[in-house]
Amino acid sequence: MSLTLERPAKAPGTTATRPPEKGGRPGRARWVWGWAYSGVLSVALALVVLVGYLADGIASGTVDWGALLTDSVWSPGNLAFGGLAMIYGSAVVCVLALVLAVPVGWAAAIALSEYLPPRLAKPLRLSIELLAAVPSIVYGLIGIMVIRPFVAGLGDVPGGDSILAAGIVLAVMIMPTIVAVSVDALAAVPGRYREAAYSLGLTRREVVRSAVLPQARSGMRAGVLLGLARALGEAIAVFMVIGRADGRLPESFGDFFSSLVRPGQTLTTKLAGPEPMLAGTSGPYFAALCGLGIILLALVAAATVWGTRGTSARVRRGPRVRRTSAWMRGPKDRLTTAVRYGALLLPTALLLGMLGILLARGGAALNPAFWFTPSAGAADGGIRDQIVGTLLLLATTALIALPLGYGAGIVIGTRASAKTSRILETLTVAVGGTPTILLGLAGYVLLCTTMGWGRSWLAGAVVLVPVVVPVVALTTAGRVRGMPGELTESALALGLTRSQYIRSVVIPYTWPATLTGLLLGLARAAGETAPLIFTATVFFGAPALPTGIVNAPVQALPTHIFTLSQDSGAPEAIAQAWGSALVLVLITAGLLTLAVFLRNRFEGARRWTT
Amino acid sequence: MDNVKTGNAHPQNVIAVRDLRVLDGKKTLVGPVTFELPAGSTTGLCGPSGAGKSTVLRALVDLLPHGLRRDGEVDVQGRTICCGKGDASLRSTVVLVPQTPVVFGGSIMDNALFGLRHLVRASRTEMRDRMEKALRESGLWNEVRDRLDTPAQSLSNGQRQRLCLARALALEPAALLLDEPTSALDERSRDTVEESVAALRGNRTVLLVSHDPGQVERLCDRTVRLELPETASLVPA
Amino acid sequence: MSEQLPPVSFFLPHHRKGTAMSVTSTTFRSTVPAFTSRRMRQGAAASAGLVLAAVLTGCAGAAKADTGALQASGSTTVAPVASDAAEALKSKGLNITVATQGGSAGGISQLGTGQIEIALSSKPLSDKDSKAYPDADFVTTQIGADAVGVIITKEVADGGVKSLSKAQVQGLFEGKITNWKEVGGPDLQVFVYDKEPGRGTREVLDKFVYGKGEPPAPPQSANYAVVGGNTETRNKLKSTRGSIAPLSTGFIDGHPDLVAVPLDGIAPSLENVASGKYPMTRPLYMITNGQPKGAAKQYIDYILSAEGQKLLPKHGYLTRQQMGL
Repeated sequence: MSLTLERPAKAPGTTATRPPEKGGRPGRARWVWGWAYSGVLSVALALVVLVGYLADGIASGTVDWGALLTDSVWSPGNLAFGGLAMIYGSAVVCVLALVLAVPVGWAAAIALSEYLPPRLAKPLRLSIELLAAVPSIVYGLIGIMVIRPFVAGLGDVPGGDSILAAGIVLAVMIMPTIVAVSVDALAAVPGRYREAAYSLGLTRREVVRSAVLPQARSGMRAGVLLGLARALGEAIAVFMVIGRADGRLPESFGDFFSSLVRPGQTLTTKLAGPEPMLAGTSGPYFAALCGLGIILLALVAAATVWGTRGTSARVRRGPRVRRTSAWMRGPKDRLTTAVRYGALLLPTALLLGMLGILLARGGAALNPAFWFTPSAGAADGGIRDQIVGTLLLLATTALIALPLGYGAGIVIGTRASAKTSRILETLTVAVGGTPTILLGLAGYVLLCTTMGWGRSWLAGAVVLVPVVVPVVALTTAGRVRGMPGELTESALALGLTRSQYIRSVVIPYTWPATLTGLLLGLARAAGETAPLIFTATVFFGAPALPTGIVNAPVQALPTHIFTLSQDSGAPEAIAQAWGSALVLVLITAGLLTLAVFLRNRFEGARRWTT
Repeated sequence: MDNVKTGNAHPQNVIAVRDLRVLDGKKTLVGPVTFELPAGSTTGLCGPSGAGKSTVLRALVDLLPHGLRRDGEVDVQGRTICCGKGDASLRSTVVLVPQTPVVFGGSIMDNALFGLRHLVRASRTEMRDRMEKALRESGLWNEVRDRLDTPAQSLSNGQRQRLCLARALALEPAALLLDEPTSALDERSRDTVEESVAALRGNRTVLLVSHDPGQVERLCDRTVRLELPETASLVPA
Repeated sequence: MSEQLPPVSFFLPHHRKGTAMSVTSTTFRSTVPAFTSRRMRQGAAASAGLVLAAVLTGCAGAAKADTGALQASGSTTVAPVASDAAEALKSKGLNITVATQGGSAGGISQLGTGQIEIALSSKPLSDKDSKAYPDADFVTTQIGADAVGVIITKEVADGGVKSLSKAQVQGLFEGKITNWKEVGGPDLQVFVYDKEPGRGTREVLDKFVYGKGEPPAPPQSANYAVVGGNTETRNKLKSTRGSIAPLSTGFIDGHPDLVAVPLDGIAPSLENVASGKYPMTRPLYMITNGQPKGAAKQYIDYILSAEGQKLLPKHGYLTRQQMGL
């Protein structure tokens, strides 16, 4: 009242634009919810499409679930569809990969984040992320070159195609993912925690264990989940070293160890093989394959439930003094230091070896003409069109997947109810662990034939989106969970609504992790072959840039490498395959460097002073 | 500068600092500083902001940020420790309590025992006793004795700061370095923390960094002034 | 836009029955009846998709004129040859895309549903294929051939395995013969690399061993693994002692550590292959729906020409001339 009395001449508009204290707070940011939930929806949609595709396939024939789950003989010609050996193979390969990769990956991440000085850690971190970007087909080729002979020598068996070799290759593949995500989680722990612990006289080992790891745990676990998802869904690399022998099960416990160095089969390699194409689109054969797909999805979900168990607060009853052994602190600290640095050696050696092999074999890529001239015939000329096609696919995928994955990650990370968030997380990992061949087939049916897109670059990009979204979502969610309580506390204390809090606090805090997630996801997508062959790429003859959407295929590097390395006898084809692999790695490296530059500007150098 | 001689000569000095400097490459950021902490004294370290008070504390316990190094001489209990490699055991002898209270996940008890359980081999009862003693000394015991197993995040800011103090006291340190313990607190909490610090007077050797002359007046026996340029002089209070 | 284009339309294959139904780009007439009550579940999802498709194709409508390329797809074996030929014709204004989706069988099924114009195949058409697409009039043109050898390592060949009978090959691939000394070779374990199902080379081997019969389930042997591509097979043969696998003989040229073992005493030499004495050969085909016309005819004619035939040996295969055609 007094206000109007004092300024009677002023138009009421002035008062209207100056809202009362409680009224229209600027930017309620409600759009955040629409955005975040469309991310969740996209994950759900991907899953619905997949399950729908599989369920439809199962309905097209009869599936003998009893035999599929308990019988080990798989022989379509004789209508025997037993999947037990494949389930066993998938489980053993994943457990092997995790057992090998998680300790090394975590130790290496700790060494990078807590031990190495920043000027060494930064380039090394980038290099390890680069390893995550190496297309899986390259891992497969290297597995053939290095790991098969190693296993052959180890088990004194001919060849070396084996479950163990597959486990090692997968471990090598998922370790960079685990390291990259874990380093992110560790870097997000504020320096104050370290300082407070150091100033009590703790050794580095004790500081890491008691002050840093509890804060970073959820993020590091997200890394393992991502690794697991990749391990379960990976096809091409496993494909090349597991031997793909059906129906092999150990008969006794003693037989278990010797069977590790023998060929086996996993659900993924079965589905990624030629059989889904041979099975037609209906009938018992196709239905059994779809049944295997459902089993695989269920396995991924089960693994996630198991992997995220106990994230809810553990309740301890009564005040109990927790003791830690204060024995031999110095030696223990020195030993841990040595072990962690040692763990770092492994990915470093891997990186150098990989680069060495790529450079030695893919020398063609060092010639600029190789990059900028279009290919001529099967294996002559350069690969300009393939490069452009790959970039187009990746950029489109990134544009679609980033907002969706970010939104989904925020919802998973900020959901108040642990149960909802766990369910969402499980669904996300399930999508991430889907063998991409299934995405390709489902996308082929839905986009290319039902919707009539034919072979289309957009279909390829859309099919790659479910590969990237879970990675973005899970890294983001891990980072949100690792947010220091004070941040949330102080933001909500300022009276921010949930949506404003997400916009102003969560998003700025999480985006470096999201960026890492996007890159890891894109790196994986960049190497994907199977879904593109069905939906988007041709081997030869597409224009560099498509002029439309329908019937507008492109050529892409991974499919180019795959076709050349599988079936061409000409030496120049092999050379071009390796050259293309090197180009693919270099392109991803360039993208990665750019993003890391951005991230570093955001994170700043970590300093202990406040 | 006449203190140079008195450094090691007085065994009652818990810490003696001579010409301590903090360098970034060749550039001197802080110092040279020379002072000592006699046993049982509460010494105030004051000076304008930006003079490097916190940095001096961190230099004492070798917790400088990456890229900075220290130079000069620091004796702790007659042992020259500067400037070789940092030693974790030094930090449990001279304990720094940072400015913002840092509370780790877990219960109040977990936090109070945070350092102790790594450093000392003792029975559960012994640990409990030491924790209780430290919590009493920091004046927190009466407030938390019934809820030791509740999450430490539930404490108020002032209580958190005293919990950090207790965490340090539980280690029975030779000296405590308090870095502006009240600057992040409201007036009421400040009083309770000041009470706790005052209670230490005479029993513990304390170096208190503060930008508040009144606080130094209230709590300290002696004052070290850190000036913005490059000198520090000892002004007996 | 070239004249030989098919009318601007997309195809909506009815998966169960394999019939195709064309849908013009602007109106989705006759799509709805396609979803009979039995398929309502799928229909609901698809209708949502179609809404989206309508929007997107609406946007893409103008750009749709891009379907000018002749599309060839199928066998990874034939693809390199097909690509080189397409490259050579590029200068003559022909625009041809080559893809490898689902191998020979995939190519034939796409040709059957009208998605492509030329199927690349490394196996002859089977009755199954013709039955699956009764409306299609498949015309095969053989462009060359591939001799499939039973490949063993030089160590085994030098150790005394100079020839294998059909029964011996069967025994080896079924895991019944586990040591090379059982067939007159050195005392060395046999390691079988079989090709994955659907691979042309495997079908050739199966036909040689089992005739028209169905091969049994893979053996429960620890020394049995499955391989895919020819390059992969060669790599694994070279790195495994005592290994055996079916592989195009062109792929072991220049690899003295591998030997194509004679079958019943007949080596896969050019003469034996051309005369048909060597039992394991497979033709390489380009298949069209109806007699090749326009661009497809130009393309196939080029490959059959002397110039085009030179591409076959380059990728490890036999020319028509070598086959006596």
